[in-house]
Amino acid sequence: MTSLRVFIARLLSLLRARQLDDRLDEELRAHLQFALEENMVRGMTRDDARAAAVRSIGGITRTRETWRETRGFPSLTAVYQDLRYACRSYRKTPSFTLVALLSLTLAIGANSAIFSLLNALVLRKLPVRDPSGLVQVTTVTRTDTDAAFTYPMFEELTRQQQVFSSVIGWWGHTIVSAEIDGARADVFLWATTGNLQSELGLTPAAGRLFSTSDMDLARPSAEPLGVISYAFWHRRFDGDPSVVGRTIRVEGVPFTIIGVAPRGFMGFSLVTEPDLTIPLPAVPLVISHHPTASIKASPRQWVRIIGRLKTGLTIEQARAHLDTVSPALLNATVPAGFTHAQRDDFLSMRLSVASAATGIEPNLRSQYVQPLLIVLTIAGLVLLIACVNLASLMLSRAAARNQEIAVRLALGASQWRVARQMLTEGLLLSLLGGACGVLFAFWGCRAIAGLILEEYLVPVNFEGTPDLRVVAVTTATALAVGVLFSLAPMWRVRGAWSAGALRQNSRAIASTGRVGRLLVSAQMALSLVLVANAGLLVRSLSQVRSIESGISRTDGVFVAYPSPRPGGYDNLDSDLYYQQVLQRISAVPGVQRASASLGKPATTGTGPLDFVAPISEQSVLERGVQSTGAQVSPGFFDAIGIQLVKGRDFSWQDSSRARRVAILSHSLAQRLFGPGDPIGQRVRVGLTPELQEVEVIGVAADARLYDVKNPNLLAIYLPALQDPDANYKCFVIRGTNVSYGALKQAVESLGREELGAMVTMRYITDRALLQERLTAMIAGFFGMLALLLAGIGLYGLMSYAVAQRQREIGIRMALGADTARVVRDVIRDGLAVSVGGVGIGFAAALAATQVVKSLLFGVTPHDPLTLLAAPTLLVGITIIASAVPAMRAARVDPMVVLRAE
Amino acid sequence: MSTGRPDVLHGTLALMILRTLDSLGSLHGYGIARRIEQISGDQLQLNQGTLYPALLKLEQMGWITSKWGASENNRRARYYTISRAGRKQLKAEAENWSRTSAIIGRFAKSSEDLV
Repeated sequence: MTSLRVFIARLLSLLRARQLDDRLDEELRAHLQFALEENMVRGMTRDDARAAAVRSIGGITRTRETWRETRGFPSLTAVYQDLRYACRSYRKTPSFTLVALLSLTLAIGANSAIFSLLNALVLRKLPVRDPSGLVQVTTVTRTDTDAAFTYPMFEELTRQQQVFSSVIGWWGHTIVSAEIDGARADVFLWATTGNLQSELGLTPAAGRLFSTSDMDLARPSAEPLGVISYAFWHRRFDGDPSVVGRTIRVEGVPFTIIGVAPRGFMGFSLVTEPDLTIPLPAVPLVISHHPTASIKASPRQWVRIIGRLKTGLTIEQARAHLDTVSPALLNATVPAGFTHAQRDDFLSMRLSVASAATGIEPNLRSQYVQPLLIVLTIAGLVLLIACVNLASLMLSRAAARNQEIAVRLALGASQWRVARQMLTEGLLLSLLGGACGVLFAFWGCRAIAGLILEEYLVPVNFEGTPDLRVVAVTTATALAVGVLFSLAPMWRVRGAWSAGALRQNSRAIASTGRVGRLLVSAQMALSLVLVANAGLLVRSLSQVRSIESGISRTDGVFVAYPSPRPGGYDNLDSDLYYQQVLQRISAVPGVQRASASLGKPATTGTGPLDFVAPISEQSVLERGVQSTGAQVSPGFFDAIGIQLVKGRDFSWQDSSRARRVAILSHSLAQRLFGPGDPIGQRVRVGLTPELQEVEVIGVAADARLYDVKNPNLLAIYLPALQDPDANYKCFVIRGTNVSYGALKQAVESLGREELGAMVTMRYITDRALLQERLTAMIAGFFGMLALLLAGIGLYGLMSYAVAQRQREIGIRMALGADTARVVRDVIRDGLAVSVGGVGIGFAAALAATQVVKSLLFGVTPHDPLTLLAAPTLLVGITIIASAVPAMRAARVDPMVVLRAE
Repeated sequence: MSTGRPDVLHGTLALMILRTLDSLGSLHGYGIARRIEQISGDQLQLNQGTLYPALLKLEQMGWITSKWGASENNRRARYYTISRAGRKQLKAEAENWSRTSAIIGRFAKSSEDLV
């Protein structure tokens, strides 16, 4: 209590320090006067009385000092003094301060930005109630791919499991066509069970959220209900609370809005906020226009499952439990009508459990986490380089202040006090750099996230901005960096106090030079490692870009994405419709060839996989060849530019009513039939009963249809007309100067579909390489930064060394040495410093390039070109950084230098 | 000059100031200093300047208060007064001190016995 009182009193007195000091002076004056008068009363002479009074009061300076210490915070005041002193000395050397601050901002900011992204992508927990207890359950098929559950499996799991306090089923997300107050809109849809919203502890922004009773759509009077998102509420309804009770028609099916989800709720996603949430059993109504009851019979695995672990249970326990439950579960839920082989395949599934505490974002994570970690390593290296760079700059700064430090020590400052001054200066710089770095990170993180999420077709909301954790990590980094680069000048203080230091001491400077050289060498070594890695990534990108994709002339190829109007696919005769719509498109001026494909070229990773085997093989799963499948319309090969090697293209006669046919890629044909003629052979494709006897009618050249980095050499093409599930498709069009408006009109004139975006094939390929481009771009940026820092460090050191040798250079010039000779000597000196570093760096780079190995394509970690170019670059920088100060020194009139001494 | 006259023992100055203000009421710095010296029978050498930081400290603790006033010969001086909290503190410290000095006194005596 008392100590708090004292603290407050001292705090207040900081505000009236001057006033309090004046008070002491006045009291002391009064004191002296009283003593003087009393002494005179006792009979002393005036002079004796004054002397006695002064004696009795003691040392006034000392009293003032104690008074000040009592009044305020002595240690705080000292820190404040140090800070003021630091600010003053930084102001005196603006160019040094600017360079130091800039390099710190970039280095710390880069680290923070990358860390922010990683934080948002993998560390941050979902903003829901008790996220740590959430786990995701998936099925794992024989080919090791994660899949969802059939609806009966979901029901059975909910019944049989004993490890979860509740099981949530969900499905999504997809874009559907909706109608609100007569206006059409694309709506991002997902569906959940009734317990999700209460289980995650959500509170509605308006109206109410789902309860379990809303799921029972089998009741005669039941009508489907929907919950809209906060963003959608504001976007479409201006936040009008009367939205509750209104109707939104999704694919023609009316849903009554009962409420609005809380702001920013994104389900289990990190980037997308579903516009509309509907009950899980309502999905068939919307997607396939089947009655709700059909979900009990459908063999489709579409339900995703999230469980909340019972208190005290671990994921391992849940996994063990589900392993014991799964055989019975699978046995009980084998879909009716499965063939023997399909049944075997179904029963071979396993269940897998993983934490869902940080949300479910498999694509973003698999694509970006590893590159980001590698980039973070590189950023850390940049920070280290900046640190070493600053250490050497601070060191030469301290050397320049040699005399000042010596004076302070001579005047009685303790070594610790002076060393603390150095530390204060370092920390001030690094914390300022850290603050600027956070701002830089804020911007950088936004920019990178913007690039990553650009292709999303729905509004995205990625919380990538730095949060408290990022600020904390950045501050810690800045503090560590500050201490680290202050160590060298602090160390210097120890030896600074010597009799000779008050004079300009050249020996002290020589020793600084040795540590400085060491630091610059280290910096060179680190930079080389970094530049080599960055170089490899850039080289890799150019390799990926130059791949022969097998798709000739991507120029002039467009891809356009249609989506159905509400009910647009009702009673659709796809045989007829495809032909009609492609005819209309072909009639658009400029279009040379139009086709449709169910897979979207260059966007779908490996693409859908299927096993293909000659018809003579009984078990397609065991003896089949895993191949990429693609469903395309007649004219596709011509439009996209894949050459047909043998046989014929699909024709309109290969319709859903006709015999099943296929075109194989060259490699797949070779693999299945060797040198024999594949045309006319029969193959089995997967387990679908209709595809157990498919005739090969053609062979196409190998192409990288889906993934530019992965040659889908083994590929099988099937006619789009023969695929019953033709809802999602795109048009692949070859042409010149095709008007989007004309194209849109042509597609929409049939009244069934609307045309969405149209992009060039080149754009799609670029998007597909985004991860590579980003990594190469960021690494390249860091490489440049490292080079720049190394250059600054070396330049600083050489300028300093040359300044020290100015006299010697002056004498040599006066004695007739020519400029070239002097400059050459200085460069040789510079090379002596950097070559050691480059050598060590080269050895380190040989090992360190293994780090980026997993990101490289078509380049080995020991790529000779890169490993040759990087050291050359550094040597080049050394020569420039040495030559500039040397030339400057050589230009100075020798007489001026000699006179100055 | 200092030999034979003990310095003010650390921590006892507060007690002396509080006691002085308790018995004499409001007093200025010089008055307090003189009073302490008189009470000690001029046995104590008080470095009078050190009084002022000590007074400030007691004020921060809330044990005394101070305000400007006029002396008997009309000089402006700062007058210190003990507060209620100061009286409580004085009582506690005085008891504490007599206990301590009694103990120390006993030790001092017994060591004389031993000689």
